Amino acid sequence: MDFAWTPEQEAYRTRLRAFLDTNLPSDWDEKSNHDPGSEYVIGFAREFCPKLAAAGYLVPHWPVEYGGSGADPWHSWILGGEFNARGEPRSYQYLNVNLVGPAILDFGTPAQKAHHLPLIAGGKVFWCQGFSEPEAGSDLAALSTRAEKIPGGYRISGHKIWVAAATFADYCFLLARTSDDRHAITTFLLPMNTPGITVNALNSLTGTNAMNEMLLDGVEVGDDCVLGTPGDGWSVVKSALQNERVGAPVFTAGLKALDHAVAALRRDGRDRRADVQVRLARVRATLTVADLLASQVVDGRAKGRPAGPGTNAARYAAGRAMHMVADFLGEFCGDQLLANEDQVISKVYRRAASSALGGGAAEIQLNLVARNLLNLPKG
Amino acid sequence: MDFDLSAAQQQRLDRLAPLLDRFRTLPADTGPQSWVSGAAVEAALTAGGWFGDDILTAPLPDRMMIAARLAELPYAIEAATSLIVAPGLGLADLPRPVALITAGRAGKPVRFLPGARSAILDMGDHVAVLDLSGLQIAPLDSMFAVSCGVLPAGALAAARRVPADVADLRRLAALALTAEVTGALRATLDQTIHHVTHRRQFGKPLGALQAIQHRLAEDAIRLDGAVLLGLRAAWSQDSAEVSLATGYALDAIAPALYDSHQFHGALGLAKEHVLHHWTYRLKVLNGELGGASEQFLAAAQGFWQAAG
Repeated sequence: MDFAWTPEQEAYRTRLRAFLDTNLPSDWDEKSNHDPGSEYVIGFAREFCPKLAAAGYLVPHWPVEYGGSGADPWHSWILGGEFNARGEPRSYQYLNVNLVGPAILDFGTPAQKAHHLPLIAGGKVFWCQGFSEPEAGSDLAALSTRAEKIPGGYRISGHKIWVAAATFADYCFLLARTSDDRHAITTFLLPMNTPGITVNALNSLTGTNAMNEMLLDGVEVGDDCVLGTPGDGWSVVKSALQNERVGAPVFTAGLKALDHAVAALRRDGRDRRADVQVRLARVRATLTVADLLASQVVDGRAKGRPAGPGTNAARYAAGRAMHMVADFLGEFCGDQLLANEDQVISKVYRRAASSALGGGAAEIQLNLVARNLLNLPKG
Repeated sequence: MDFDLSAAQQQRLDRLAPLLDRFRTLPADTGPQSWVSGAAVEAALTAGGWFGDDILTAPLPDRMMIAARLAELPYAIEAATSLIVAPGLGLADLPRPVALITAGRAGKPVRFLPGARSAILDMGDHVAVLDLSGLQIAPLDSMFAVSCGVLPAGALAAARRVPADVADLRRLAALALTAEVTGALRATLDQTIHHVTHRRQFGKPLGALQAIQHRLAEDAIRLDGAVLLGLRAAWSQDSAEVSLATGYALDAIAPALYDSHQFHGALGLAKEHVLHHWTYRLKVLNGELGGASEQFLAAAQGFWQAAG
């Protein structure tokens, strides 16, 4: 066991921070509002992501032939943490890097790889994720969007919801049912400019463009849009969800928010209260545990092991930890939140509302831990 | 970072496993008191060299792993102080069992004092040791599954100052406590999982009920976190990290303890059941070193220095 970062990893983090210091504007916090779906951040990311790509900071963990540098998963973990703490200047391109890209790398045809991976690795494209439906949330396999086989392709109709970034995404990583068998789901790489797609924005508590509904009315796509084997999309989904569950270290933002909270408390002396100090450390412990459990997953990934229930445990711990941070901020930084004067504090507080939902609700994670880690009998 | 056990760690734990297996259950008649002191375990550990140089010079995280495994046994045996505290202070040669008397605890109930041959004392501004071989300290008759005793008045006069650092003692004592807590929690959780897997109600195992599954899953996640946090603290030896880990481990006690008793039903309240040998040890550990609050206070002051 070794808990140290290697000198090479430390140096990588230092170079990355210097790059961000140079390339983020001095008024980034105020302008971005640390909201990845704001018009400002989307526009910023269109310029910034190609710069990241050129500097090797977008997909370092991808194979060299697809624009990466073949680095181990720790590099993308470090990247994710630093971007997260700065309010996600990649906008929703983080989905490409964490979820869509790896799925195409694992399941894509040579033609799909040749088309999509350079766009993602170049920082030139936005993706959204069409999973949830009005009647299929936690029970994702109950989805009813249908892809009907037609000569040379599929005709897709259905209703997707809670789709982040759908208003401006170029492609959708879409799940649709190709037969009545519960798990006969197929993954599609759907261009968002295909006729028949309507996107309606929904106002969300967690950020701009964080939720939309997407209506598909006879959307026709070619067979070349199917990712993996038709009807076997569930394997793609399981792999993608495991990547999403431990995608980026959210605790970097949580720890940064605690530091900002301490600075705010110091201004009126509340940082000297013993009860405040006890609460602070208790939250920090929970965040650090979430960090360690997730790091253990990344270690497994770096060693090429399949994702196991440790991923679910880490996801659950991260969600709980972010709730605890937000509870602390709500109790002790109410003035800062009301005045929206500190974007680090505001963002963590705002996003905590969804921190135990993304990648599958916390209760789903507990089900999987109970079954696959504790080997408890199926209910 | 590397979360796999090293070859040496794996080898030691593999060597320890058969010994643990021999003592996972208690003898049929455990006597009238609430704990079982386990002379046979003591003898087996000594014979196996588990308090020998080879172990006591191993890295601190390695010794924490061993102490935690020994805390999984239902016997009240002193191991963590001997494995973690004494060698870290250059006191590996103290005759064991070793009682640990933390600041202000002389004259108050102290674990393992009956039967201990030495004591290490936190005297506030220095560290002292005490030879207990001439003393007969009677165990207190309590509900808890640990043997506690009180140092007789006047015994302190024989305490001998040693050139060890009080801050080191406190850090090592916290790591020893963390190891004991995580070990006893692991045994409690394993026992509870075993019980809910076999106990059937409503025509199915209790463990098939989601209400129970979720709570045990939460307990397990907290425990895994406490173990990693404790090992990382031992690896870093940073005082704030150690306090953070100890606070977290102590916080993990209450939910796991109530859940385990709850899911055992009345069966777990019977003294003949093994469960209380861990849970009523954990209840004592819960308040040691000032409890979670004091540990978190120290951690916060360490991390956000001006916060003091």
